Amino acid sequence: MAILHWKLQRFSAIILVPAIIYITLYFLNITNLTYSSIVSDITSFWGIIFIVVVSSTLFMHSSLGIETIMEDYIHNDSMQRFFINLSKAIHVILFLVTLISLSMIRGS
Amino acid sequence: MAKFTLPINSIVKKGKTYKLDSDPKNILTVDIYRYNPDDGSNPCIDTYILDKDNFGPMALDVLLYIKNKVDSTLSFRRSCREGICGSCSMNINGTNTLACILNIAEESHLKIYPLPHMPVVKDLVPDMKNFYKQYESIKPWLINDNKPKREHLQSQADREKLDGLIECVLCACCSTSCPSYWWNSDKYLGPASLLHAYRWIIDSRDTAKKERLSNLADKFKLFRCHTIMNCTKTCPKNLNPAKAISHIKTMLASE
Repeated sequence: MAILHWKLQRFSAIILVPAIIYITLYFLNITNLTYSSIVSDITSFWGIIFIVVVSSTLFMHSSLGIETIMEDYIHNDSMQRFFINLSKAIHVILFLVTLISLSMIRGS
Repeated sequence: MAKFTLPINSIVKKGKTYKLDSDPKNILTVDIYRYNPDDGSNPCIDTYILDKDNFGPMALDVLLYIKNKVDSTLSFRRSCREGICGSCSMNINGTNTLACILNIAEESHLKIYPLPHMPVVKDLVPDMKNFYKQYESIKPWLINDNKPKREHLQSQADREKLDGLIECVLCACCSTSCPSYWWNSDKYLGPASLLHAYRWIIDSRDTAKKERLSNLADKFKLFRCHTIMNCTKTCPKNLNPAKAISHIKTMLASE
């Protein structure tokens, strides 16, 4: 389990590096884009794939990282489990909010 | 849970100041952490104002001078005075190091503390029980059921793989500089034990590589290492425990 956790953290970090560079460059250029072209980028086939893959990877990476921090600093077992589960639930909710937002943009 | 308040005896007070009768030309001010559990008082920092011309160039020379000439109640571990035994490990000017190989010729002020985040037995003497117990847990001996007629042979190339690992003197400078070890020293083995674990894992004469690796495949024993690299930065023998740990992780991940 520990090895899987470590592998997932590294794997997700590697995926996020080019994704974050692309998102940064996109936002730096956002003033040159119109509202409709941004909506079209987001709702295109590859836009949806990109957002789903990147957001799921990002939330998984974040959840794993926060779990590690909880394990480092919270030494009471039941409290540690509670906060790790709470963190996981928040990450799942955030991912669902992303999907709902995406479907609302696509539907509008 | 991490504690946000400190116990009352963790407050370090100002202690005595020892000055020389004469007016020294080459002054060295030395602040040393003092703690005696028998007298029930808080730890304190004693200050010694010394003449650098009276002792040798190493930090251990300063401590020996203080012990022999100024204040015989000062406690610290020392033995070989040449960086081989690892006894005189302590925190000097904010860095864990061996007092015997730290040249203080250019210094005018030393701040000497015991190794951080270790229980203190007295003054600069930390309690190393947990550290040695962790070292024992990695089975730091050759495991090989084949009994050769004379010795277990090893090629020169295989022997060279152990360079940079066997030089570790178990001074605990690396482990006690690691924040992960500070927070979880009861479960995380720490850089020193893991460096030795790697030393036995890659030893061509050892036949227990699989068992050794599976013993480390634990989220606390090994994976509390967050590659902070303090261990490598502080090692007084210039070894690289962080690299050894990353090799173990890679071996486990590629199994």
